[in-house]
Amino acid sequence: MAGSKLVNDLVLDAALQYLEDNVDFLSVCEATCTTYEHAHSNKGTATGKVLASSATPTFTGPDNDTSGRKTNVDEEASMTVDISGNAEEICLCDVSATALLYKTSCTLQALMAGNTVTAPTWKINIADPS
Amino acid sequence: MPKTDEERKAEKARRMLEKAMRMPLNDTILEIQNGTIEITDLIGKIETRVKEGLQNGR
Repeated sequence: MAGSKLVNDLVLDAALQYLEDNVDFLSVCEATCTTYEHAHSNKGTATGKVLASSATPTFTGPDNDTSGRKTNVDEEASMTVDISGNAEEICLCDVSATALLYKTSCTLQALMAGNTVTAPTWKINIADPS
Repeated sequence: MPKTDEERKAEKARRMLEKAMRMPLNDTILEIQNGTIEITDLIGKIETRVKEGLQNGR
């Protein structure tokens, strides 16, 4: 029989806390963001893909999850849509380090400039090793 | 330098206040998929990258 695996919560929390301490920009983007510039510059500016953004992202956590630990990315209500386009990705950036730190996907939705968009609460989970 | 808990609370309070000031206008609510990081996957990818590096003489 194989031995078991274990990771201390402190290890996972360090990664989640890094996100909480350093993310200061949340963007709603068109696909596909792989760089900071994609995730931070508006669509139509260089290689930017941002349609809407917030400089006030907040988190709740770290906390226990079904497996491992999680942090909730709090709701970002009523962000102004700066550029029309198809929202497919949510990006988290560290502006001072010009780094794209995390990205997730969302169901494609067409956004119109001048309207607002709400990103409901979602979570980042680091599962226990298995 | 990690932030202190007091600094974290103060920064979160400032951001929450700013968020509360926003006014919705023809608001679209996104459906966001949660992100899960599987540690076993990460370890597998690291092993692959290390093996690739060794094969390339790095």
